[in-house]
Amino acid sequence: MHFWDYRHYLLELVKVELTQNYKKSFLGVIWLIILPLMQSLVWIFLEKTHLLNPGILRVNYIAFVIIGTMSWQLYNYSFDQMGNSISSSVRALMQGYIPMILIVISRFSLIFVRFVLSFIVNVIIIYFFLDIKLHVFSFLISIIPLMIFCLSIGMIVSMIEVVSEDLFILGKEFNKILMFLTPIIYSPKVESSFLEYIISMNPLTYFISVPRSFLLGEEQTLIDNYYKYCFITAIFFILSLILYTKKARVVVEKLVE
Amino acid sequence: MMELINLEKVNKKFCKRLTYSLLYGFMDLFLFKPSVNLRKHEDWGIHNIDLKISKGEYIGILGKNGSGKTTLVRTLSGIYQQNSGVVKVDCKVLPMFVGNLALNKFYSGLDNYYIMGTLLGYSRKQLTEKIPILKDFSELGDDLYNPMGNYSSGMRIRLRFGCVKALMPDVLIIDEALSVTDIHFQKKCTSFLMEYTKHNTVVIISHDMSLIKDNCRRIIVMEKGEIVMDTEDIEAAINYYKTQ
Repeated sequence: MHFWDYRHYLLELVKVELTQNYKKSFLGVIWLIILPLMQSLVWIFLEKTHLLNPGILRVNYIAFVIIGTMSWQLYNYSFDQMGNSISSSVRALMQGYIPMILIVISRFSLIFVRFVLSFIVNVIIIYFFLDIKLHVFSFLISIIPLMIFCLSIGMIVSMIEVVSEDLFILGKEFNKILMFLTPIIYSPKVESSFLEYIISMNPLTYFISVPRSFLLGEEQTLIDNYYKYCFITAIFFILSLILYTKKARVVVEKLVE
Repeated sequence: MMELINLEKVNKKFCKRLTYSLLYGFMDLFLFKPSVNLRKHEDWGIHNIDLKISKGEYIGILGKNGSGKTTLVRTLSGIYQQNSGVVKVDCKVLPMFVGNLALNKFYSGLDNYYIMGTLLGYSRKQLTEKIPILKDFSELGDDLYNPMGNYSSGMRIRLRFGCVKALMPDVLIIDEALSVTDIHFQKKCTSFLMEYTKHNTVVIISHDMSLIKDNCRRIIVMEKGEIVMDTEDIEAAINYYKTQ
């Protein structure tokens, strides 16, 4: 069978990915909207009640944080959920020959749908509660490199997770630190020069800050490095894809019951 | 006869120790040329396998536990990737192992049928048209709409055979799966398989000698990961297996 013959199967896998986590829930897939809604409303509540006072800023801090958090979650979900995509697909892999790339695409589709729904919810909330003019199109274009970066990370981590649980756990712990080294709730410009250097080496700094600046209509100060990391990510993606298509099946036998 | 599957000099090795197995797996991921020779604690699952399977064959695979039967059929199915050699598969293969009968226990038998069917390249519309065949053969009635987590082993086999009848894959691979169903359905399946092999192929692993003797037209006997006998003389193959 050719790859094209698996298109119906891919669609079924995507449906399974989207619905299986909520099979035991009464609200079902509505959770995909409730969670980002609750998250954003908490920040809006903090601002409206003046419980949060970040001082005088050029942009609206709440919108800054909401968009930053949403973009970070795209990366974090990719690491966690695509990371175990192979090991949690044993039953699918036992059904016979499946092009391995279908496993990663179907899992990424769940993360993508979750991100899109979260984006729609957040845009509506920012528009109605904070009254900010948003440049949605520029954001959607500039967020693509982050998605490609996440997909690449997901492919690599999913293979490593099967053969080295230790590295996967270390990676998850590293992500907790990485969250503080990524300008999600603060600006990339910090007082400590050492910290600023580390932040400047972190690709997520550019993949999160630049689309966010586009969305909020801020002045772009990181665009040169953004392009540089886009190029590096493109190469990283090609290498990950080659490695995944050639080697992912090697690790499957470690899982088969 | 039209050739559907061709294995040439196929080797598949396994590591007996989990720690080494994971270590080798990690090394093989990042090495340009993974090792094809045996390393410490590794052994051949199947070794030097040359095998051709054609349309319309009914093949029984015999061998003691650990002789490589399951590894061979999992390699044929595309579940395992061989370490060396060539595996050519030009057809739709549906494996039926005791461990792979439910894709997702929270989904109904019918949902699982759709998933299985799309894996064989059918569209949802084509699969919907074939539901009466599935219902008729499986005799599952309303249980078809219940989650597969509630199914007994026998019901899972019924669903799987219903799927086979509806989807008619080119090659059906059965690994001990028939033994868990009741006598009535077993008889129904064996007579269906005889009909099925007029145009399709069955590869069956079973320790039920009467099943093998009455149905198979070719026998492969395996020992220590190698094919030691491949013959159409059923009596001779069964006698050889019994004296192993």
